[in-house]
Amino acid sequence: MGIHKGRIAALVLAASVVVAGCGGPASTGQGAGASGSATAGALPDAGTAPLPADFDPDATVTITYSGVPGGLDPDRVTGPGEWAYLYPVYDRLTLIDDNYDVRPMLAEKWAFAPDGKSLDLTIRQGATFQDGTPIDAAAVRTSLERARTLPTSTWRNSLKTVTAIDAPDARTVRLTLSGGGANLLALFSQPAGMVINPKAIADPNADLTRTTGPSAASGPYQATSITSGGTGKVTYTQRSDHPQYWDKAAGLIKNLTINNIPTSAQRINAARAGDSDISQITGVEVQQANGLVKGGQQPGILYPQTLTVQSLQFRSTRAPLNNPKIREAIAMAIDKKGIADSLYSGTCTVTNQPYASAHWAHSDAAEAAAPAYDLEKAKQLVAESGVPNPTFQLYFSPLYGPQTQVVQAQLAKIGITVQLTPTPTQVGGPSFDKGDFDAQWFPQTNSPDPSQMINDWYLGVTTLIPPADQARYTGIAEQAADVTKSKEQRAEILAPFWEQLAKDNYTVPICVASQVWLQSGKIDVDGMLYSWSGLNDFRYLYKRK
Amino acid sequence: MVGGRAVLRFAGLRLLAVIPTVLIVTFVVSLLVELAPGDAADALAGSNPDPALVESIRRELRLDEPFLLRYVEWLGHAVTGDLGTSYFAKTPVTELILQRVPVTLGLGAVALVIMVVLGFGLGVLGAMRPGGLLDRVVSGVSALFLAVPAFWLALVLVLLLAVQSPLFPAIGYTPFSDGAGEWLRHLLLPGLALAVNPAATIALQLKSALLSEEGSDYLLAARAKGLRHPSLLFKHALKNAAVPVVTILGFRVAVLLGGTVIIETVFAIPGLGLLAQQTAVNQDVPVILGVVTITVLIIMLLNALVDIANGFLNPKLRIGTSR
Repeated sequence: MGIHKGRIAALVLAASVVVAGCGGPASTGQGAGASGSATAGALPDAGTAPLPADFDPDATVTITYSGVPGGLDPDRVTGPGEWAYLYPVYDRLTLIDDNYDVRPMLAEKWAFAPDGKSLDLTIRQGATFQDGTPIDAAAVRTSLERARTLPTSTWRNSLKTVTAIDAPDARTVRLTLSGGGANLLALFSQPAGMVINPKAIADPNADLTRTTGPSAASGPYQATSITSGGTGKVTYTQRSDHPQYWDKAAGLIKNLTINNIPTSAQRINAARAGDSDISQITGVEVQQANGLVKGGQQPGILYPQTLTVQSLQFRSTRAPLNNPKIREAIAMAIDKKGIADSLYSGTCTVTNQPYASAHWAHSDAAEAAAPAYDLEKAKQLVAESGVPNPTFQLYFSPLYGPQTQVVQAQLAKIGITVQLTPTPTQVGGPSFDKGDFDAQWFPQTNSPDPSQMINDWYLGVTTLIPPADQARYTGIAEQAADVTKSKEQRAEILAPFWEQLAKDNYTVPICVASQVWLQSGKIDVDGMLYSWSGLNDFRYLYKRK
Repeated sequence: MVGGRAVLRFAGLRLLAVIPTVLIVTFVVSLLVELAPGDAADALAGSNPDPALVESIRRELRLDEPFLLRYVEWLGHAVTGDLGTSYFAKTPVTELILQRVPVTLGLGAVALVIMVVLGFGLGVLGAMRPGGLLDRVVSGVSALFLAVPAFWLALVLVLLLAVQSPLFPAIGYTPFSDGAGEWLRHLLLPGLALAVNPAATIALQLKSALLSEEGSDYLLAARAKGLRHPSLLFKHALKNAAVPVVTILGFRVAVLLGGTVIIETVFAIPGLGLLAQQTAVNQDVPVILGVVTITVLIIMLLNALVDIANGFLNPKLRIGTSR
């Protein structure tokens, strides 16, 4: 078991003891955020987490990774693939554990006001930026204010519920909320919650995108170089004041390189040739990598990607996909199990909703509500729809060619023509968002928090739910975003949302993919944070002697 | 010397042709990017962007301004050596290109050496005994080399010499400054994959050129003086036979540079080819234009060098151009 797993287990244990002892004070609530709030205060100091006895302090580690490095500015990241390059450099306010619960990081505890109109974050004592400046409430306020207001900030939309940020004392940051906000604590585990040195923010000549060294950084590593783009890489070295760093178990590698290697086939070769210490394998190559692991040819671990759902997303405002019977027919005609078995060799778990069974927001009722595979009924629905020769254009990244060809063949059986349009992700994704194409095959990466996910995909800027149909969803979404609700309550509230989605078929979730991490013998891959998301944080990774 | 100056003048005129070529190529490329769906602001805003964010980025990048105005401004700066700043890497394009050019030129140089050694070696071997076993073997090997796509050969080389027998790295690049041995180890397989096909062309061309010299008067005279076949080949025939081969070499080097896009992708080498491919996808216009400009310059320079080499190898060309 890696250091992370052990640490999280200790956190969870401590949390449960506190919950048992206190019963959850009403003033701090028991919601997804509030449950952390109720328990977080008594969590053990991360600095006391045990160091692994066998770690190599002089280790040099190379990671080959699928994400493409852009820049190192947390507020200007263009996609989740960039996050892994920033995690070593910047500490966040929170992190997410393997149960998708929010846990403390720089925010040691938190509490929503009873009326849900504000959120107080208590900042950990003893944490410093790499130049020695203390990380206090004022510094966190400056960072969050930048994420919220910078004109080109990626996080402005996600932080729209925050109307003001104050620092009433040295350890308290108060966020004034306009309503909702249950997503915020999970959001702060992402780059939106990364804490940047206010000196770097104030420096008019500092370009955080390219800034390396200790001037802006708060995390266990400092970046020493960055090459952006495909096959780009970021190199890091342990922060110079590491013995004083608050999280002793983090940053145990002397020299770290995260190297983007564009295809999984190349990353498999890199692992087998010994060019990398650990390699991330995604997509249909997972079955090959898994075969190498099972056959004992290469060490590695298979991780289900609980939050990444291979999906068909429809533009349900445009004919013929504005016809509910056509959408239902499509959902019935796609043999999800066939796709999962044939293309993924069973490493992709069939699903009918955004969250897999391992996630607290999963609903069994929604699973049952989705149309079952039935070609005859699908043909009947197409006939009943009254749409002659239904045809639609399906965009996909070339990585998903086999999947979309199978969909095309399956829908042809019920008389629906699919025009396949392979387009690079960087162009196709934004193009779909803007209104091009009728549908897309997309690995829908969902936020650990369902309210954030709903804002991201269904009712926020991207509205996969057409405006005319939104009324039957918005009420549920608002209730689920209530910060005074526990996660169990929120799961209950959200179940009808997923159920309705499964009936309306604005998207057809296909399966929850997996990934394999191939490794050299001396690396503890199990020490990665967020192995369930694919957007990994390598802070607790280490090499054995 | 008059002939030499004429060749240089000719090469100079060829270099002058760079100006309209760069203008036409960069304009057409800019126009194509402009006509493509979406733009860099869409990609930079990430998934599910706020339209206000997209607009803000578009204004920041000045993508809301007319196309012609942006192109002319780029041109004005490019003349002064300022190729702009990458939308994505936020780095000056010249810096990005300068990072990548040594990688691609290094790969090109290794491939060139392999290509010349292999091509000339096979060509000469084939011409030593026309119709003999060696000639047939050379013809067969050359045909095989011509038939093998570079990317396929690259994959096979990786599988055999990096994965199954870990003699060479499967991916990546090490700068020359980190050690010539490691540098060469990283470039040998990609260089070989790039070089094999053009080497076959050169081998067949050289063999054919050498054989066509066979009946020449100067060779008959030399043979009458008692010179043996290898001496005839190396001392006399090779120089004349090299003229068309050098011309082809120039073209093949240009093709070889184009081939780096695929080979750099297979071996994940951070060179100019890969940069070109990725920036085209991202619609990072300043980088696209920078890469196109540099590539045009390199190829035009190579063509001029070929002209100069041909001039020195072929006296008739020197006389012809001096008139």
